[in-house]
Amino acid sequence: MSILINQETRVVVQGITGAQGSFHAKLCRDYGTNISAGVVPGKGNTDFEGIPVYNTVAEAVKEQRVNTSIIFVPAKFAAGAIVEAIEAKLELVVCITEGIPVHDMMKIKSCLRGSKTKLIGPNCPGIISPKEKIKIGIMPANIFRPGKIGIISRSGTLTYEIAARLSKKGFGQSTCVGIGGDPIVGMDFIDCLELFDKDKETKAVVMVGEIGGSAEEETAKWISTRLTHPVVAYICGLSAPPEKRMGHAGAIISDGKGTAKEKIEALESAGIPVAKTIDEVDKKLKQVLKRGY
Amino acid sequence: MKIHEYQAKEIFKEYGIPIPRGRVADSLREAEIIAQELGFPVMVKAQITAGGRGKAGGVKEAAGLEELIMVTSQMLGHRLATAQTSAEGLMVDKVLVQEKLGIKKEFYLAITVDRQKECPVIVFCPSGGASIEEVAKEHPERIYKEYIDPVKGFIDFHGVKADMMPVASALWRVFKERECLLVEINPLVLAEDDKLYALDAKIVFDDNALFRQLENQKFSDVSELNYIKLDGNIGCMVNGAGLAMASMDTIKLFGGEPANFLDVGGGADPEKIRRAFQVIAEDPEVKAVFINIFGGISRCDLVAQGVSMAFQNKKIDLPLIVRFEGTNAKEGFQILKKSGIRFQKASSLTDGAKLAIGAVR
Repeated sequence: MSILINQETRVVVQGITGAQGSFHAKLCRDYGTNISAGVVPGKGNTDFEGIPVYNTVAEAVKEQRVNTSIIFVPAKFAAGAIVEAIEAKLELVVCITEGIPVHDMMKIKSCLRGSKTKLIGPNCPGIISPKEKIKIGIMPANIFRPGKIGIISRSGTLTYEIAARLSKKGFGQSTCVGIGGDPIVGMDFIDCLELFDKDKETKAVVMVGEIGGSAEEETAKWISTRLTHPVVAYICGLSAPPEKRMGHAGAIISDGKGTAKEKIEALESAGIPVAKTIDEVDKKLKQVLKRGY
Repeated sequence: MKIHEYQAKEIFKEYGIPIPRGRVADSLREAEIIAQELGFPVMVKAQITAGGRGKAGGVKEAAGLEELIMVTSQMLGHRLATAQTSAEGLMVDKVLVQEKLGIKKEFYLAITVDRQKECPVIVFCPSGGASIEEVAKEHPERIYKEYIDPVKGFIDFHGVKADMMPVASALWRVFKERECLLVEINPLVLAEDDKLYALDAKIVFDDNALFRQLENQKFSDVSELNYIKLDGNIGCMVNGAGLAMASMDTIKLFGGEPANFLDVGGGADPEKIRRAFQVIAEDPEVKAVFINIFGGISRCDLVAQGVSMAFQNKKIDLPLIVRFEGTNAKEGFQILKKSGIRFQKASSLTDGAKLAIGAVR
């Protein structure tokens, strides 16, 4: 099993003729993903490598029964592309695009609240299930192995780093979700953990966090109040410079959360082992799996 | 993108937020002229884009000409280190010379993005000033927060306090229309004339919105490289902010000191890599360079091309530790070998960090 994606997943690629869109649409299809349609405004009634292209997501839904989208549209137009996918009532939208303005994202979150659409990203590597052979993203497929570990990560390249390490050490993955590194993203750690908890095949989850915001602290609090799969965390940014700070408002509204040290403390005090290095992630996993739940 | 106080005040003025009289100066002579115009005493404020200036000696009062010359010459052309900068601080090229107001009361007023609630938030505190963060910690009940629906926007009843209304409303317009991540007035003061003034001004624009914020673009002087200099001696060139931080963390964990944070980003071309590598190599503190690339969208061969271009351009005599993984890693190593660059191959992030530490010892 996997979370969010399965054999019923039919994908539309928004921006399929662009440089990134065309390159990765092919790689996703080669991996096994059911790429059913593409959308490029003004290029309807054409096709890309045998994949039918439509002007709108609504048409792709009507003609190809797509239920999931992956977005490669440039940042200028990406917010509009997300809203279009929400309005077409897709179940899942994966937005790879980097650089969407924060003010747009705040409005998109407002739209999402009244809908049944789930958003992964933006500024993320996407989602992959090695067992189901489905990849909706830009990650190098060869580093993943089928297995029982879930990965949720705010960082793209760190996801690769950790997945490669786990695969090498015999810990295959059920599903890996890159939730994106922007200040405001769609699904967060807790949304993904809830789904992993319902997934019988997943036995433990690795969460990869980084400095900024309070998502890791909120997750620690959430985990401490219930019985979940065992979770192992890795947090980067312990040595991050202070220049990234902005005024006092951030410090005031975050109640002293946000640094790597505070995140690690919050996680550890919720009983979640935190790996100090990437090489330690699989060792910590071994420990929590042995302890059993 | 952070802008300077004097630039933020220009924007405030445009939106009708009252600011003290004053102007920016980049020479002693100009500072003198402005001070004479305003009349003493004046305040002299070093213009750097980091907070904590007051406590670090970057904001001084000058009662007369002699004091003005003294404080201004201590600031202009010198680096100012505050709690929010690195140890070496930031260069002061300009000072803001402004009238000294008689102050009855200081407030704090800001609008920022609340990441957890995923909407804008107005933050108000009846006691503003340099110790605002301590107030927030010790008396959280004195901090008022009002969340704003990003679609509906600011409505007058969000007004934190009746007489703050015009300022709060104008500040919201700055935040929304200029697509800010932060607008902050600390302190917002009630002066002796019973009017409110923004004594300080801080604005952070959203870089992602620059493409449509043409007015904001004129403040942009940042290079496209995502580079932050640190105090150590191991230069780091990594793809992805997360992996870059993890590389720095690992170096530090094993007893080394990173010289910089540098994320070359996804899909960087050889020319960008060359420039990035040169920025690192030209830092005199750097005694070794660790390249850590996990290719996904980035390709290790293109990174290798960029690095060898940097070596062709200029004689670089630094130990080089390279870790390539993922897309075209093998080709990357071949290119480096072919170009005759001496380097140590690292088998993992940890291995690379240890090799780099060994190289600087």
